[in-house]
Amino acid sequence: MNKSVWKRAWKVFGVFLKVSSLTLGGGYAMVPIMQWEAERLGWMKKEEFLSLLSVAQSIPGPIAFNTAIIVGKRVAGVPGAVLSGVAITLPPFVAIVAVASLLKPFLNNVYVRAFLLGVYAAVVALVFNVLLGLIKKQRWTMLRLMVIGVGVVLLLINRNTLYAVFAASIWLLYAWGE
Amino acid sequence: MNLIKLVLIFLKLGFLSFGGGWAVVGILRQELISAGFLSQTEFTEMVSIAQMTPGPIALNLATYIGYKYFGFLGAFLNTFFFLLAPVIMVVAIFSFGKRIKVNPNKLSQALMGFTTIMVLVTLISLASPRFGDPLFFLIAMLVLFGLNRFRIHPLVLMFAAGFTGVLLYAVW
Repeated sequence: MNKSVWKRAWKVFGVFLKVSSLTLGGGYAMVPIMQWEAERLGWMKKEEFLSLLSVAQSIPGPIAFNTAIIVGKRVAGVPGAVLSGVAITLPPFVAIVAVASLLKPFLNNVYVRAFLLGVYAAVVALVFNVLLGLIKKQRWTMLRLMVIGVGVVLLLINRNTLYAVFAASIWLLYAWGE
Repeated sequence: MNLIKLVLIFLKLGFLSFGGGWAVVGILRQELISAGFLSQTEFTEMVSIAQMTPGPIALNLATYIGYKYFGFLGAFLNTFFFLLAPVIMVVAIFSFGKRIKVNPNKLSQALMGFTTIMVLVTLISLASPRFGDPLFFLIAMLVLFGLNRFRIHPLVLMFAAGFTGVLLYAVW
């Protein structure tokens, strides 16, 4: 592996480490900043970033992580992909370990518990908003409504139906989606 | 409780985490509680802390749960195994992606359908333990209002909700 690949890979590492450390608000907040950096540094044009992003969205995993490894691979090969993945993962990892250790002695405190329960209510509202966003983005048909309704009921009754629900919903919606 | 069992739960859910972290949180909650890893109250606390810390929610949860029960090794292994699925998928796409013929638009619409199922399950699973608590839904409604009507940053709303929680549950 030649030197310039590694040099580019470390550059990608630095950029993504910065993006991941400084962005609050989860994975979706990171993607536009990654795009901005990729265009600003001349790694790729907007169209190419968007097509890589659509690949990142079609595989499982956190969107920021997927986008990072795919962009890293494109810019600096396998070293770029590996270092991008580490760069995105490292800041939240350190943050979680720090927060978990710091909060541990206070978790039984009445006020801390009440605070976390309030935050939990906000979390439920955020998830509701995620759901609204998903509902708006889809082309609704009778089939889609039924697949989603049956899928939810099956999973709530027995979570071991997960793989069946996954396979059947993707297959039905892909084959008869239009 | 053992580490291997925990890591396998995250490995499995890694493969199904389409469309953002919230999709797997509901199933994760059910799996972890029924495997005896944690109680409902502990899960509430973990989701709140994971969401307030920067980083993707599902990844934060993986790290946090690993750390809480098995220390640094648990945090590392849980994070690693949760991210194995996307890595394998990316390698697969770069190796023989050209031979797979899919209509990207139809695939994304199909995946969005599956994600909707999972997010709905998450919503029901997160909200159901609080059904008898009107104060809880009052805070949630206020946050929704702040998000959609006034476009306030989610992080600001989360702290506001936390302090409202202190007022309503601890002080009052």
